[in-house]
Amino acid sequence: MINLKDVNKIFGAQNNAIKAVDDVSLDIADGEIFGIIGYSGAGKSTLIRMLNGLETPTTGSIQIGGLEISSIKGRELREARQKVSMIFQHFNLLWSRTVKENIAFPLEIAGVKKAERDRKVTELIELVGLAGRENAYPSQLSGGQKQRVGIARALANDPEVLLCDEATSALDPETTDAILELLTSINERLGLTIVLITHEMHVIRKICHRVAVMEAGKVVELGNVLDVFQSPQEPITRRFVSQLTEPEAAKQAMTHIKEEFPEGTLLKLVFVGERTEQPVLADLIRQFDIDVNIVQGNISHTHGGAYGTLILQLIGNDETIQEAMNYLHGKDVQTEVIGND
Amino acid sequence: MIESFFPNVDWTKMWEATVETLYMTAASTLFTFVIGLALGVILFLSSPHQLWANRLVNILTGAFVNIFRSIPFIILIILLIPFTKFLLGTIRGPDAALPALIIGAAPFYARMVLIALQEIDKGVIEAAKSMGAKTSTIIYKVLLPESMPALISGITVTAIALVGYTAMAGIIGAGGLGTLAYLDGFQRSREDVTLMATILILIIVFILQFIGDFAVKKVDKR
Repeated sequence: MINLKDVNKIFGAQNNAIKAVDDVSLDIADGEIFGIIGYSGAGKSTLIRMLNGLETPTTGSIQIGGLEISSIKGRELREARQKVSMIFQHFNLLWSRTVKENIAFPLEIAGVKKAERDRKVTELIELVGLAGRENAYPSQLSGGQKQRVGIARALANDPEVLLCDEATSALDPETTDAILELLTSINERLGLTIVLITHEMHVIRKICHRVAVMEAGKVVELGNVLDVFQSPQEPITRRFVSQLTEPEAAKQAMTHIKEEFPEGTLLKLVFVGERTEQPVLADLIRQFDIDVNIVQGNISHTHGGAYGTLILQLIGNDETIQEAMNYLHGKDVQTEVIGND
Repeated sequence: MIESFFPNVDWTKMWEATVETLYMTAASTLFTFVIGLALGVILFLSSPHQLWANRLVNILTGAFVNIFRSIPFIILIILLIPFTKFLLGTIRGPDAALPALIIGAAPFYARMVLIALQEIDKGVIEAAKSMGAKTSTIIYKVLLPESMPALISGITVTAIALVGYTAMAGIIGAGGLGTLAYLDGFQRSREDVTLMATILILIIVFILQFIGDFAVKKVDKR
């Protein structure tokens, strides 16, 4: 659906030029929810804005559904934009228009007749769950409701691709989840491709099929969300993954336990898929002569399946601990010794 | 009763002068709104990073606006006498005051339009672009509606300034309450005529302000 080939974007003139996007090549499949994660300044915002021609690449090519977005202009680009719509962090609704009128705006742009516009708007209001609020102005809506208007507006011209520019970053956690669920259901029901950028791993975990990690303009890591969670390769990816798996409180608990049992071995177990549902821990305690302290554990549900981590302190002699670790490996559970560093 | 406070006021003349002032204010405000809006939109769209970013157009429009905004109105009237004569064939009467009033006020309003447009959230313009909107659609359906409260309060301020300008236009024989207050009031030492003309001008200003405030409240849904 979307193909990026050797895309570069340089801002500014030679002396103080900034390379915002550095040699990025990506292929995004039809119907996929593709996430791009990175800290601010990583170039993800520039990258997504090139997908609808709000920015043009300095070099390289961007194709959407076979159409070369990076080289078209004028009328052709305006028509292409109706098929690649966008939602925004700050919603960007027109305050002067009601919910209904905001959703009708892209239809007016596309030259849709009044009766057809009304029909479509009613349908979209229903779809995003805003029935009863048709005639409210944006100032009378909550953040979550505003984003629902943004989504309805983006869907008005039946796009093939939906771009989400930090669409949940201004929302509270509960509203974020509700909006993410809406996006997932839209993806499933309408089959449209979603590309989203975010700095929250939570968003990636919750709805994305694949993720690209960006740092300093480059895509440093790319893969299925579950794989990336399971074995992050780059330090920055590990930092993002630890946003979810190692909350600050757990780090403190670990320091505390390390102080209390300096002789023990701290072990991080990673379970993926079915393993999360098996009594691995009970077997471990039954079969080996070791003491086990549970420091912290959690299970995250990603789009591709469940993903769990468990941090244990094992006390016993070194050989038994080694055997226990071998047993876990045999059960397809990844382990990682957390050093006393 | 009123006659005893204002013994020298000729009410027929006073009413005629009021109508002239209202006519000059209304006509010049209308033209100022249209021309100032066009100039303001050009100034905005031609500025860097905007839809029609164009250095030359921006500098030329900016220079025109700044020059005519800076000339004191009383001098502008005199400078424009030949232009008015060419345009209307006369320099007397309410119509003859209009060119100077419009050329004096339109650049002033253009600046206010520019400020109003700059206040618009850039994200909204970008959203319209991302939907595939043409520039004309962005102007009529985004820029103008989204800046409407500021555009209205700007034209209210401008209209009130124009009431003052019409009084000054009296020196080229424009008529209206300014001329009446100067010729019949001041030069003949009839203070009551000057006072009555002042009261009527104040009433016009208050009414304009009231209409402006009401309209702003009506359109502002933020």
